[in-house]
Amino acid sequence: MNPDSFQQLDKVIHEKSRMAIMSTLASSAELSFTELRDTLGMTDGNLTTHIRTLQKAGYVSVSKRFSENRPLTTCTLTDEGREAFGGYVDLLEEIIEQARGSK
Amino acid sequence: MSANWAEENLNTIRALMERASIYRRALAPVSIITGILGILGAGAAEFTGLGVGGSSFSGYWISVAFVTTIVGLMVMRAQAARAGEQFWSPPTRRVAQAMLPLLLAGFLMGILELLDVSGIHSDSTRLTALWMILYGGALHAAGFFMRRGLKLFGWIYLLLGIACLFLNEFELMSWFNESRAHLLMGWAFGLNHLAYGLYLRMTSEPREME
Repeated sequence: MNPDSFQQLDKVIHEKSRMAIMSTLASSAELSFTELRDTLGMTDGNLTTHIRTLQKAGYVSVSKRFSENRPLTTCTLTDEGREAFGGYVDLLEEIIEQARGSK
Repeated sequence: MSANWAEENLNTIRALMERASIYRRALAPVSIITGILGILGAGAAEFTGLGVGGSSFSGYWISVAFVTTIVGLMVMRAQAARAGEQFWSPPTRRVAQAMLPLLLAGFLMGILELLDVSGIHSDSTRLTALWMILYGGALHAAGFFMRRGLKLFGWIYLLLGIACLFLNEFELMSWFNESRAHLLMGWAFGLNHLAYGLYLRMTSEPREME
């Protein structure tokens, strides 16, 4: 198995909570903050922190608007985020393949 | 780090992606519609003086459940189409598979009552309580694939069903009897769904990120 493969894993995504956020967003066009929080069972503060990290990396975009006179925050994967997530998953698959090949 | 770890991560990713599918967002409107139809069903039965006991009760409520299921599926399908997502997706199938055994058991109990097979006939309140218990179990099973509140909702049905069964079997309260079976159905499957749906609607969507 090539140890470099592990080094190549995206450090931003390669964190349990952020990986969960990226995975959940990858399967939806858009999710509200509360939907994301409820799905992942995270606290508001924890989710906010990780969303900000992903936002800084350019992987997630956050938009705020009003729905039924109440503020609604929604999160979406950016194209860059979708590409990075795809690359991360591909690399995981590659690692598994390498391990199977070396057995 | 090992290949096992990579495989675990990949499985987690797949599971999370499946869990975030459309049926979650359809839960609130489906619950509200189910609640409204349940209340209307109970109101119509009371208004028309539809009898309890025997085949009329089970036949009537199986029909209401059938209509409610069709309407619920149509709502889910419409939501999936609006979001450009697959309706009969693998997670939706899993939820359906998890609920199916207990729902089927409840349906068959209703059919036995409908056929009024000698010796099997039971009173309508008992049937309602058993339906609640089975439905609670089905919701609890579905809760493993959906939002956490659904498991709790399943437990509530289960416990209320057991309480109703005891109240009925031991005749603990004079007003709790078979003549109020339609009202019990309206409360159990109408009001409870409506309350759950409204709760989801009020708490799950518009919310400001800190």
